[in-house]
Amino acid sequence: MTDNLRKLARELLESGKASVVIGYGDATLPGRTTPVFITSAAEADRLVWNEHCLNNLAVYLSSRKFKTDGKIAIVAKPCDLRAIINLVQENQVKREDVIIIGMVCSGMKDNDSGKPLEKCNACMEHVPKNCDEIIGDPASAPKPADPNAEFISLEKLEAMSPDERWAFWSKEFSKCIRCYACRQVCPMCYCTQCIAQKTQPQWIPSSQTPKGNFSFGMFRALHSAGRCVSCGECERVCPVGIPLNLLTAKMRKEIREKYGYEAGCDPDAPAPMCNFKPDDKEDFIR
Amino acid sequence: MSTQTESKHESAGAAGGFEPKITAFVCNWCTYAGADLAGTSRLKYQSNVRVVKLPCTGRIDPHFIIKAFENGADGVLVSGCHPGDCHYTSGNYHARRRFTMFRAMMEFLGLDMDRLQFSWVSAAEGGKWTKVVDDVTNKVRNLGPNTKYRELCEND
Repeated sequence: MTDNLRKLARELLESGKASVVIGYGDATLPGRTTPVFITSAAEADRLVWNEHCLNNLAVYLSSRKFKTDGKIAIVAKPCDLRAIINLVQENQVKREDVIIIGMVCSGMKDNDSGKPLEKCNACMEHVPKNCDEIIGDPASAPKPADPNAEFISLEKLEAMSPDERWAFWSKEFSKCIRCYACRQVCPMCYCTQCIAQKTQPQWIPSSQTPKGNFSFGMFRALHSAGRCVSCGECERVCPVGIPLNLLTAKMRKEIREKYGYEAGCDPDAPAPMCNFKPDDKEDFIR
Repeated sequence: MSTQTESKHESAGAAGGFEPKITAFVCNWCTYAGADLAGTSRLKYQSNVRVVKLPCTGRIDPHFIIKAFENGADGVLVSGCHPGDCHYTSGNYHARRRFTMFRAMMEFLGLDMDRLQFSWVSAAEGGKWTKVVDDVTNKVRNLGPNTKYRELCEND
């Protein structure tokens, strides 16, 4: 697949169809990869494809992070591809400005443990959809997991009492050092000014206090409701190991159950938090 | 908004028992008028509620509710026009989806759900307003002070 990818990148750059190819290259540590930006055909051999292509490269597509004159070709796993589609849906990038190179993916492995990632075990699409080019053989892809597999981790918390849940999250959020890595790595967090850094009025206290951490953790997940594509990057980059994916998974579960919506699957679907139906469920309202 | 120290002082109540502090975010067109009707009709309801008037439930950001809790509210009530009656046509429909997600999040984080009540009260429903307020106040009084948020805010 690496050879096919390099060949395709070379063609795209030589023909001028793309001015840059965003992909994965070897990192300084063996067995790891790092995002690379290939701008000339001669450099195309720097691209690699293996089980450690962890980053969600869609984060480079939002305008504040990356600008180029020609088209951008981007290497995307099926999960990352959903993020690109969601960015198109939210008018952050024009579909015709991007050449999506979809990779048939049989799952990624953790850099340290070498075990398959949790999100890959619960993956529903190994074959990319909505892309311009496909690399890899769709027939070789593993079977999709059960649609509810990604929510199994929620059951333990949902079975707890409210007091236990509060204690759990208080402990987890107390670890937060407010590095905002979860926000920076999220392809959906593209606001030029984040509410977490507004000071007049200050909605979210900026210092590492229990109050501020709780508020930030909660609103990060709330703002991603109906937009989170479950790439799991927030949890992967968290330096203190807060289970951020539990919060976003809860939001995805609610969105699926209440509004039957999956983010990043259909570029023309109405976004659930910007739309409504007169007969939406309201069993909690008096 | 009053400070936490103030709320501790006030929550002692006249008889020494716990009196909850409820913040109500209401829309200008329906619930505020409904509460007004309750007043002009001389209907009695418990005085624990502090009403904050906003143009529409669609204007109520979940941040407002969190700020109320952070600043010492023991319970929050959000109320606006019935579906289909919004002065701005669809503000309450948007709010309904937002509150659905916000409520799910708060429940998942472990807040007692009796502390957070949503309701539709029209301008003609002065009686319903008094019932909703009494009901929320009684529930929160039974729960006691919002210790979870008080502890969270202690170090600030």
